[in-house]
Amino acid sequence: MIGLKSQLLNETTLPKVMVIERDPVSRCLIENLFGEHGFAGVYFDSFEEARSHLQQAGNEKYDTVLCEYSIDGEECISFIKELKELGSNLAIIVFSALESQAQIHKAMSHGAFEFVRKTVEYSKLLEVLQAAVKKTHWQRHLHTTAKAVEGIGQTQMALLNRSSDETPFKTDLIIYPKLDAGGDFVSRFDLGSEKYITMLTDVSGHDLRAAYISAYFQGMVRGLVEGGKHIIDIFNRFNSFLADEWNHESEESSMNTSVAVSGVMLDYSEQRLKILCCGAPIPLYYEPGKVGVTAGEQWGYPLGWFPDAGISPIEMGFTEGACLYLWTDGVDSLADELEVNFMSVISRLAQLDKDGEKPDWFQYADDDIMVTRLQFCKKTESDELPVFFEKYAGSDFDKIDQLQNYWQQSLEFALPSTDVGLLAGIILPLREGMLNAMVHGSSKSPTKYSTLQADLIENQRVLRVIISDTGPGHDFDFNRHEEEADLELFEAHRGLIMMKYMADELTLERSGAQITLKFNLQA
Amino acid sequence: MRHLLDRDTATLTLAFEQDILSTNVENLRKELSQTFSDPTVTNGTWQVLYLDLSNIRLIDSAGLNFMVSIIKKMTEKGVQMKALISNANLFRTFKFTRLDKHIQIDYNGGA
Repeated sequence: MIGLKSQLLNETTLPKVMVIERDPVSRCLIENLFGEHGFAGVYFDSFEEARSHLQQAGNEKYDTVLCEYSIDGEECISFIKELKELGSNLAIIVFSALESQAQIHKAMSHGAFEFVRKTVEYSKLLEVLQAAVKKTHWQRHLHTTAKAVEGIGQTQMALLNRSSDETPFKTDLIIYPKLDAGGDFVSRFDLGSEKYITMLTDVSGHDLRAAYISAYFQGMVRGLVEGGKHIIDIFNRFNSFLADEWNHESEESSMNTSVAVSGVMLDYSEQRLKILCCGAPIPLYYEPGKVGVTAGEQWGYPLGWFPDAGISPIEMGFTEGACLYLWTDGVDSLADELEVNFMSVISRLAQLDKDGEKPDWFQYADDDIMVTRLQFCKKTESDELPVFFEKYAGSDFDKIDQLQNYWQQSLEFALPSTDVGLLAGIILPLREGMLNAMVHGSSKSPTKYSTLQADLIENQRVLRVIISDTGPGHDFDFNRHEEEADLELFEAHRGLIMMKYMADELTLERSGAQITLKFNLQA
Repeated sequence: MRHLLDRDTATLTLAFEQDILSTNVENLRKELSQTFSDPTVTNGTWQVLYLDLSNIRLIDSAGLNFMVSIIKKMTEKGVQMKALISNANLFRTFKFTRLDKHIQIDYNGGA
C-alpha cells in the first residue's frame, strides 16, 4: 500500500477512492489524475490485500472503488460479489487494458457501476469517478432512509403498546412490509371519556414519497383531532388537500397520490362503533360463535381521487369479547395470488406471528401487508380465530365445484398442521350446507346472499363452521326424516343427514336458516 | 362410467371415474340409462350389480339420491348390489346414511 501520507492530508475533504491496481504506469497516471481533480487514492496490489483491509477498516470510509479487471489471474468478479453480499453501497468501477465484450458484460452483470478502458479513456475515467462517488453517496442515503422506514413497524408496535395500558381494548398488529419504504400505518388517538379513534392507513406507492404522505397524514389527523375537529371533517380536509393541491401540483408527472384508510371511532362507554371506510377493505366485525358482520358493503373512494370523498360512516354496536379486523388491500391481493380466502391469509399470518416464522409463500405478495385487530376485551384474550369468511349469492350454486376446491385450498392453507384427509371430510358437509343455503335459503337469486364462515377455536383444536342464509328456514323433524329416508328410500334430502354425521356437532337455528357445524381437528 | 358384464359370475360392473356430485349427477343418470339400454346389458343375464367406486373421493346428497334410485331399480329387478370403496370418508357416508344395508360394501381403504 502506498500514498497513505498524502491521503491522510486530504482525508476529510476529498472523495476517497480504493484503487486496486498493480501496474506502476497506471498507478502513476491515476495519481496524477487524482491530484489534478481532487480525489484521494488508497492503493492496493491485489484483491486479497484490499479484501483484508476492508475487513479491518470497513468500507464506509471509501467513496468508490477503482479496480483492474484481473490481477494475478484473479478476476474482480468475486470481489464485487463479496462487497455486494456484505451490503456495501460502494460503486465499483472496473478498468482494463485487455477488455472484451464478455468481460464487460460479466463485470456489469455482477454489479459493477461502470467499465472503463484503461488505455484511452482516462478523461472518461474522471467523469465516471465523479458519477460513482455520487452513486455511492445516494445509495448510502437510500439505505439509511430505508432502514429508518423499515423500523416504522417496530415503532408503531411500541407506540401502540405503550399507550395500550390506558385503553379498555387491545390492539394487535401484524406487519409484513414487502418493500423498504411504504405508507402503511396504524395509529390510535385517545379523545377522552372512553372515546378513541383507530386508523389504518395505506398510501399509494411504495417509496419514500408514500412514507412521507403517510407521516404527514398521521400528523395532520393528530393535530386536528387534538384541536377538536371531527374525523369526517379531517378526512374531507385531507381529501381536498390531495385532490386540489398535491395531485394538482404533480399532475404532469402522473404521480397522483391516494390514501386508503379505515377509520374507527370507538365509544367504549356506549359500546358503539362508527366506521369510515375510504378505499380500504371493509372491516370485519367478529363476535365469537356468531356470523361476522362487514362494516358496509362497498369500499368507498380513497382520499385524493375525487373532490367529494363521499364519506358515509357505518354505525354498529359491539359487545365485550368481540373483535374488529382492519387490513390493507395487500392481504386481498396476496389471497388472490394464493387462491385462498383473505381471512385464511390473516389467520395464517396471525399464527405465524406468534411463532416468529418467516413465511416462504410471502414471496407472492406484491404489496405491504398490515392487519390490526381491535379486541374489545382487554383481560381475556380471545382463543377464536376466523379462518374463512365469504358471502355468496344464491346464483353461485352452479359454481359449487370451484367453490368447494377454493374452500379446501383455503382451509388447508389456514390450518397447515391439520390432516388433509380430515379437511377433505369437512368439505362435503360444507358443500351440502352451502348448496342448501344458496338453492333454498337464497332461492338461487343473484341478490340474496348466504355466508360461510369458519373459525378455529384454538385451545380445543375445533373448527366451527357457520352457514347462514336470509331465508325463512324450514320446519323439519330430523329424526323422523332420517328414519323415513332409511326405510322408504327417499330420493331427496340426505344433505342434512350427511352434515349431522360428518360433523362432530350440528346445531340448527332459525329453522335451519343458520347451521353451525363443529369438527374436531385432533384426528 | 365404464361397464363390464361378466357372464361367468353374472355380474354387471359399473366403474365410476369421477366424484358423484350435484354438478354431474344428471349426466351420470343419462349414462346409466344408456348402459341399461345397451343390448349386451339388456339381453345379458346378471344377478349382481357391482359399483366400482374405488376412484371416488366424494359423493354428496344428490349423488346419494342417485345411488338410492339405482338401489330401488335393482330391488325391483331382484338384483343384488355390491360396491367397492377405497376412501374412508366415502365409506363413512354410506354407513351413516345406512345405504350399507342395501349395498354390500367391500371396503379396502384405511381406518
